[in-house]
Amino acid sequence: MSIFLRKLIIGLIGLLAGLAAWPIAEVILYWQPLFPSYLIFSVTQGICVGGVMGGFFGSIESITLSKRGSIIPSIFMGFIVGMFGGLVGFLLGQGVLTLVMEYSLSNQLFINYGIPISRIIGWTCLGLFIGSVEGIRSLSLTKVKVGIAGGLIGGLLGGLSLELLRLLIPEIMYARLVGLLIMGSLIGLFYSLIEHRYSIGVLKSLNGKLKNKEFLIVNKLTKIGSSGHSDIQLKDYTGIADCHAEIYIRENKILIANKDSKSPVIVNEYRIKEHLLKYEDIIHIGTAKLLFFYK
Amino acid sequence: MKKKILLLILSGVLYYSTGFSSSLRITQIDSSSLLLNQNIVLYLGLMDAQGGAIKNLNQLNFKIYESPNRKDYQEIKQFESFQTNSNINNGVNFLLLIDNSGSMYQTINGKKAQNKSHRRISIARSAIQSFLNNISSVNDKVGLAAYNTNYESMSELTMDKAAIEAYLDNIKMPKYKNEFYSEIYGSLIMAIKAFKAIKGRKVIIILSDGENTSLFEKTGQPHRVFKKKVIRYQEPLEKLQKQGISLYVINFGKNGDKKDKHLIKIADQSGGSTFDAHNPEDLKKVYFSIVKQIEKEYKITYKASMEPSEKKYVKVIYSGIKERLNSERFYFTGTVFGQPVQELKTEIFAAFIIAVILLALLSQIRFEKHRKNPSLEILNKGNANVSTQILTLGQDKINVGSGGNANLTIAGIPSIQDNHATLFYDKSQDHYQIIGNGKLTVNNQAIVTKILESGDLINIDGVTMVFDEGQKNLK
Repeated sequence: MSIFLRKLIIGLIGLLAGLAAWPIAEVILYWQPLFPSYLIFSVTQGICVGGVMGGFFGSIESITLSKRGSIIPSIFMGFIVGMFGGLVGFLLGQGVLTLVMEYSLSNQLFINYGIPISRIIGWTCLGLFIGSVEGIRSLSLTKVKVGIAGGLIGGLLGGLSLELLRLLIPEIMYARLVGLLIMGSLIGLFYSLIEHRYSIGVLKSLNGKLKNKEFLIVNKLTKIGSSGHSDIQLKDYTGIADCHAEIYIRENKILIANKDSKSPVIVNEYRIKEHLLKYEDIIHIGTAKLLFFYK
Repeated sequence: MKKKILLLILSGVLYYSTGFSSSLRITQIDSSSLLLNQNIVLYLGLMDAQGGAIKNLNQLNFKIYESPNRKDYQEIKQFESFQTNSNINNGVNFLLLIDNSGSMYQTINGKKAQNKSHRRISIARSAIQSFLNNISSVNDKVGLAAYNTNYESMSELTMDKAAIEAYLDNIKMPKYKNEFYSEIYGSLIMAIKAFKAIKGRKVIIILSDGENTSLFEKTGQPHRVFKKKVIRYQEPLEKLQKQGISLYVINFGKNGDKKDKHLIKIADQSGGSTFDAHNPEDLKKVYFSIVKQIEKEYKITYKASMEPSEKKYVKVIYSGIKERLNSERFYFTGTVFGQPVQELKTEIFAAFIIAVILLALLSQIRFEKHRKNPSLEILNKGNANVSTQILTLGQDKINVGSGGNANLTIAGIPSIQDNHATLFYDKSQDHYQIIGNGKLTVNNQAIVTKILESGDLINIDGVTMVFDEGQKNLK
C-alpha cells in the first residue's frame, strides 16, 4: 500500500466512523427526555459517539498495515479510548456551549451565529479527542500530537460544515449525518496528512507478501519484528525475531540497530549492529528486504 | 423600628410608575449550573399595590411551569430550595449608572445652579452615598459608571464601598458640547459588559434626567464607539434579558420633565422597575426602596426538565389570598448535536450496519498485488525515459540499456550503454543472474555479476528497479 492509498483508506475509515456514529447520535437525541439531567445526557452522548468513532479509528493501523489478527483488539481498544475522548470532548463542548450561552448570548446576531459557533467549538473538542485515539492506543506521543492536530482541524471543519448546512438549508434532514461524515473523513484525512508531515522517513517493502507496502516512520522509536507488538510487523517472512531491529533518532540522525544477536540485520549487504540510515539503503531482515527513503 | 417607619413613609411618598396593581416579576434566571447539577435558579420580585415587597410567603404560594415551545407547559413538581432574603446572605452585584449630561449641572428645576450643591449631580452623589450606607449585606458588590454622550466606567464591581464614595468625586462635568447628550441605550450596552462572567444576582440602577439622545442622529457626527449606528432600546433589553440582569430606572427631575418612554419597558421586561424622584429626599428614598425590594426577593431553585429545545420558557404563578399573578421568562438549553429528528426512521439504523459491513470488507481487502511471474519494476526513473514501468521476465535472456533492441529501454541518460546489463535465467538452478556491461549496483554494492534474489534493488545511473521472482518469492 502506497502512502497515497493509506491516506485514502484512513479518510474512508473516518467516513465510515461518521456513518456509524450518526444513528448513535440520533437515538440518544431522540431519547433526550428520558435522561435525568443534561450532564448524564452529555456523558452518554460522548461515551457512545466517541466509543463508536474511536473503534473505527482504532482499526486504522491494523487495516493499513495488514495486521488482520489484531483488528478486533484494536477496535476494542479504540472503543475504550474513544469513549473517554468522547466523554471529555462532549463535556468540554457542552460546557463551552452552556458558558457561552450564559454569558455571551446578547443579541439576535448571536442567536443566528453565536450558538452555531459554540457548537463548532464542541465539535472541535470532540474531533480533537477522537483524533488522538490511535496515539493513545499505541502509546505514541508523536501520534497523539498528530491525532490532536488532525482531529482538531477535522472536527473544526466538520462542525463548520454541519452548522453552515443548518444555516443555509435549515430544512435539511440529514445535516447531522453530512456533518458527521465530513467530520469523520476530515479527521482521518488530516490525521494522515499531518502524520505524513511528521514522519521522518519511509520503509518500503521490496519483496514477499507485503511487497510495495510503505511504512511511515513517525515515532522516535520504531520496533521491527514478527511480534504483534511491533510497530512494523513482518509476518509471512522467515528468519525474523520477535523484536529484530529498532529504528530511532539520535542527534537528529536516523539509525537502525540489531536487537537480536542470533538474527542478523544486513544493510547494503553488510551485517550491522548499528547503522546511520541514508537515502535508498537496503535493509535485509530475515527474508524481508526494505528500502529506506525520506518522505 | 426606624426602618419600618421609613418604609411606611416611603410607600406613601413614592410614585411607583409601573402602576398601582400588585406585580410578580422573574427578576433573574440563572442557568449557569444547568450542565453541572441541572439546577435553574429563579429570583422573584413580588410587590404589592404600593410598591412594597410582599413578605412571609412560602413555596406553596408559587407554581413553576416549563415549556419547550411556549404552548405545552409542564409543572415542576418539586423545588430544590425556596429561600427568602437570599440576596442578603449571598449578596447582590449593583452597577450604579449616573447621568452626567449637561442638564445634570443645573438645578432640579432646570435652572443654572448658583451653588454647586444645588446641582442635580451633587444631589445624585449624596443619594448614592446614602445608598451605600443602606446596603446591608457585606457580600454586596457595587460598581460605578457615568454616562452622557460617552460611557465612562469609574469603578469595577467591588465590596469596598468607601472606594465607590471616593470615585464619585471623579465624575467631572463634560467639557465639549458633543459630550452633553444622553446616549442611554448605548451606555446600558456598555454597562452590561461589566457583568461578564459575574454570577449571582445582577442589577443595574440607572439615574436619568431626560430622554435617550443619539449623537449621530442629533448631529450627524459619528459616535466614539457606535460610530454611525443608532442604538434602539430593544438592543439593551435583549442583552439584559439574556444575561439575567435587572434594570431599575430612576427618573430624576422636576414633575413634568421629559422622561424616556422606553426605559419603563426595558425595566419592566428585564425584571426591574421604574421610579420617579423629584427632590433630594425622594432620590434617597428611591435608592433605599430599590435595595429593600431586591433584598426581599424570593429565590427558587429547581431541576430543569429535559424536553429538547433551544430555549426553555419558564412561567411562575403566584397565588395569594386575593390575587393570582404570573410572570414568564426563558433560558437557553442548546446541546452540541442540536435538536432531535421527529421520527427514528429505519435508514438511521441501517447506516450503522452498513458502516460495520464496509469496515469488515475493507479489513479483508489485500492491498498488495503479487505477480505470478518474475519481473523488473521501475521504482525511480529519475530523468530518464523508460519503455515500461514493469517488465515481465518470460525469456532466458533480457537486455537492459538505451538501445532500441533492449527489452527494457532506458533513454535520456548518455552514460547508459545500448546493452548496459543482461539478465540470464538458469533453468537448472531456477534463478536469474545479472551481468553488468556498464557500471551498476545491486543493493548499493557495485557488481559485475550477481545471482538475483527477490527484492534486490538494481541501480543503473540513478534509475532504480526491483527484481521480483514472482510466485517463488511468495513461497
